[in-house]
This record gives sequence, structure tokens and C-alpha cells, in this order.
Amino acid sequence: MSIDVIDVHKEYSGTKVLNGISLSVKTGQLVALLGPSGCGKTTLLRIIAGLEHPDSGTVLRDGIDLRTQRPGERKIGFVFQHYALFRHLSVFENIAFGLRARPKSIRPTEEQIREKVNSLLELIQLDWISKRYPDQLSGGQRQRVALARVLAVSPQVLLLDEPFGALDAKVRVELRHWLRERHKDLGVTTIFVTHDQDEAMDVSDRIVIINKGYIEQEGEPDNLYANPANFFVCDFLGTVNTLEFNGKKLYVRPHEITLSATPGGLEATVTAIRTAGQMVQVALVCNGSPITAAISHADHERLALKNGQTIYATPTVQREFPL
Amino acid sequence: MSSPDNSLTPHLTLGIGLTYVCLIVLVPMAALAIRMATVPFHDIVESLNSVRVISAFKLSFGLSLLAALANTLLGLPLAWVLARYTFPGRKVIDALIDMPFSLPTAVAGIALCGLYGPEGWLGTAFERIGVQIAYTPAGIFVAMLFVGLPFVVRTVQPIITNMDFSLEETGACLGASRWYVFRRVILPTLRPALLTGFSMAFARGVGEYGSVVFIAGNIPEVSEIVPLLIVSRLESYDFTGAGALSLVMLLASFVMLLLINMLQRRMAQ
Repeated sequence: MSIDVIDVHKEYSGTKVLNGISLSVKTGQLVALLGPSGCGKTTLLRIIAGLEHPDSGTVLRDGIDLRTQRPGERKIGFVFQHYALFRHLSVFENIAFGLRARPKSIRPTEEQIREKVNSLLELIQLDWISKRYPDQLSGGQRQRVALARVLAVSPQVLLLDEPFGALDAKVRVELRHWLRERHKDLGVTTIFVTHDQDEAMDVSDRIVIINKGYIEQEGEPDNLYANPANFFVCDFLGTVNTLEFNGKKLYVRPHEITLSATPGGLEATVTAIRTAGQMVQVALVCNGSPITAAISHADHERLALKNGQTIYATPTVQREFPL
Repeated sequence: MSSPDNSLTPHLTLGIGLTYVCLIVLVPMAALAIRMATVPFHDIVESLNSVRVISAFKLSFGLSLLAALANTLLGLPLAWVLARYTFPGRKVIDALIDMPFSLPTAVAGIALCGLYGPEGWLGTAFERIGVQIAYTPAGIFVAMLFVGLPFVVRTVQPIITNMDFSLEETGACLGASRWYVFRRVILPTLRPALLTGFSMAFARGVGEYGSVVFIAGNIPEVSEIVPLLIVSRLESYDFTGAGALSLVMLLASFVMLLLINMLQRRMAQ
């Protein structure tokens, strides 16, 4: 199912949170809403879910205007940042909640509910803890239970608010690969909110970068990284150096700088070298301002860099942004 | 909390705590029990075995239970409104809730008596529809309602304030009706606090004296509560009779609070 957000505005007591956001998400896509905290991305997600109402503009699901539909009628599942599991209900009952809540005429039988919940427990690989309570689960398990609970009502669209935000680093990476796999199997249109660019790059088909209530740029992760439309996007998606070169102001990523011992390019002084990692990070001072270059270990050995050494830096790309 | 580096501290705090509870709570109650132990058992039974005493017990416990129940049912929406909504006058109402806590009970009694008495404007209004409140059990109920309300509101309100809003939103997103979410999400979350508020309001109702005696009229077998009976026996120097009533009251209150406590523990699991 596709989602279309059309010119949505939202204001909270005089503060503009969303300034005319338009966005189309095609059936089966996995889209990340990426932006710094307070940029309006969660508000946008809540408007799509029907938990907030836009001041103007609307949301369509498969071309159907959702304005008059309550959250439970939209066939949209929402997973909250802190999962919002029902503490007094077991894992099984948490997942069964949406099915049991249905009016009698469309409520599945006890047997159908058990079947559905058990199949979801298998999907999230937690069938062995169905009788436990949320307080007895780890963060990653809670997240998966929250996901199963929302999948139980067979939503056409899945919305996830900072799905990995409350997890520790290792679990986070595992879970996002797991989510990516599940998305491949289920094919449910999914929109998730994150402030972590690595997460957005790693998981999504498409990234929408939001800042101060506007969409700065959207596109495929690789394309956004290589061709940012403006300084904000360039800066948000990774480290960027600002260089004065041949009278032009260039925006260059650390790996887009080559260092050489022979004069040419910009004269710089090495202030620090960090060799731990796939690239060697070299901190330089160039015309009084600090820049970072990332070079290969091979180059690092060839140049035999030392702190305080003078070196010549040349940008390999000519990226400029109109001011 | 335990502090492994200084094993004296937990023992010391435990000691101070227990001593305090003993001095303030246990010793006076034990004194009552010991005193009554010297009285022949059949004297105690005799002093309890009268229609007047039994109806006073029925009245005290029955009305306290009823008032606590009513306060729980009314206190929940009141606490909800105060915790969730902002409206003009909210702060004033919030402050008013505590009035029965701080008001001398005799003041409350006189105020209620003035309001519901035959001359009072609520009293005359009720009289017109044929309901008498002052000097009947209904009056006692009203007084108990008054003194018990803050217990329910003040125990439930902070739980509502701190309740994660996303729980309700999750329910709504999963297609549950507001009533279903209330029943299966909100109520279970509030249940322990509601039970605490109920038991405190009940205990207060059983022990209440000052605000009840004025409006009750204290007609034997009709509107006479146990605490009043105790006082009247003391006034006629019947210490055994007063002690017997007190002992029964003590045991009954203790058993009821114990039961509520056990229920609460079972729910917490």
C-alpha cells in the first residue's frame, strides 16, 4: 500500500513544526525519515498514523483520504520508541491484544487467535517466552514483541518511531539487519524515524532528510551521500571539511582529500594521527582552520607522517553549494 | 538498600524503624489488649451482645465500606480530570481536594450539619423530595464521603499523571475502542492505587468521629456509630464496655486491612 503526504503543515502554540511536507512512499518500500531531534520527523509519523491532526494538508493511503479515519481504522501499525508494551499482560496477550479488541462480529475465534499469535511468536523467534511479562524481557526482545503485536492486526503500512534508539550498540545492528530481512519477507510498506544516519543508510531503500520542518532532500542512500543537495545534507550524512581552494569554497569529505609530500594544493600541518580503523584519520590545520583527511594505511606508511609535519592537501572533488 | 562496606547501617536503620513502630503503634494497641485480658471473657461478650452494639458495628463498617466504594468510583474520574486536563479553576479544585485532610474534623462536622440540617439549603432541598439526610445513616455516609475522598484522589492522581500516554495510543492504533483500552490497559495500571485509596478511605471512615457525630444525630440503633458508643461508655465510666468495643474494632480493622494488603500483593504479581 502506498502513502502520500500532501502539503502537511503543523504548528504547536505558534511554533511551526512542519512547513508543507509532501512525500510519496510506494508499496513495499522501506523509507527512513532522517533528521536531527526536533526537526518534526516524529510529528510527521504521528500525523500519518492519525495520532495528530495536520493544520492543513492531508495523508492518503492508496489514494484514499485518511482525514476522517481514526488511528485504528487506517490499517497503519505504529511502534512507539519505548515500545509501550502492556506491563500487566504476558507476551502472548500483548500480541493478541489487537485481535481480542475487535468487536464481536469480526473477532477471530480463540483458536484463530492462538494460531496467529503463535505464528508471530515464531516469526520473532520468541515462542519460548510467550508466558513472560514485558519486565522480564531484554530491550531487543521487547522491540520484537512490540513489532509482533502490531503485525497481528495485519497492517498495510508500518510506522516505527526510533525503532533502535533505546538499544545498546551491538543489539541495534543485529536488530536492524533482522528488520531488513523481515521487511523483505513481509513486503509491508514501512516508514521509520531515526536521527542516526548510519542506521538510515544501513536499513532503508530511500532516505528523506528533514530539517526544521522542511524536506531537505530525498533519495537512495548512496546517491544522497555522493550528491548532497546542500551543506546541511552533506554535513548530516557524514563528516565534511570546508576548504578555500582556488578562490572557491569547497565541501570535501575526509576520504576525498589526498595528501602529498611534494608542494602543491594546500599547505597544512599534521596535528594528530589515528591509525585504529579501516582508514587512517589525519587531523590537519590548514590556514588556521582544522580539517580531517582519511587516507589508506598504505598511503600512511608511504608518507611516514608525524605530528607537526608540513604536508600538502588536494581535494579530489569540486563540491560547491550555492549560499 | 544494602551497603557492604558498613554492615552496621542496615541493622541500625531497621532497629530505629522497628522501635518507632513499636512505640507509636504496637505498644498502645498491646496495652489495650493486655488490659482487656484481665477482664473475664463472658463480661466482654456480655457488653458486646446487645442490639445497640451490633447495629453500631453494622453501621460503622457498612457505611465505611459503602463510602469508600463510592469515593473510589467518584475519585477516579476526578483524579483523571485533574491529572489530564487543564481548565480554568483546576488549581483551585486541586487545592480543595486536600481540605478534608487539613480541616479539623469538628469544623467539617459543623459545616456538613449546617448544609444538610433541616435549616441548611441542601437539607431543605432534599427534604422537598422526601429525603432526610441529617440525623440518619445517610448523613453519616455523606460525612464519610467527605473525609475519604482525598485518599482516593491523591493516591490515584500521580499514577495517572505518570502513565505513559503511548499505552493508550497503542491501544487506539491497534483498533481498540476507548472503553476497551480503559478496561484492559488503564484500569489494570491504576488498580493497585485504587485499592490503596479505597482501603485508606475505608479506614478513615471506620475511625472517623468528629465530622460524623454532629450530622449523625446519634440515635441508638439508627444512627449511632461505634466510636460514639465508645465515647458514651467512657463518659459513663464503663471502661470494660469501651475497651471491649475498641478491641473488636481494632481486630476487625486489622483483619480487613490485612485482607486488602494480601489482595494487593496478589495483584502485583
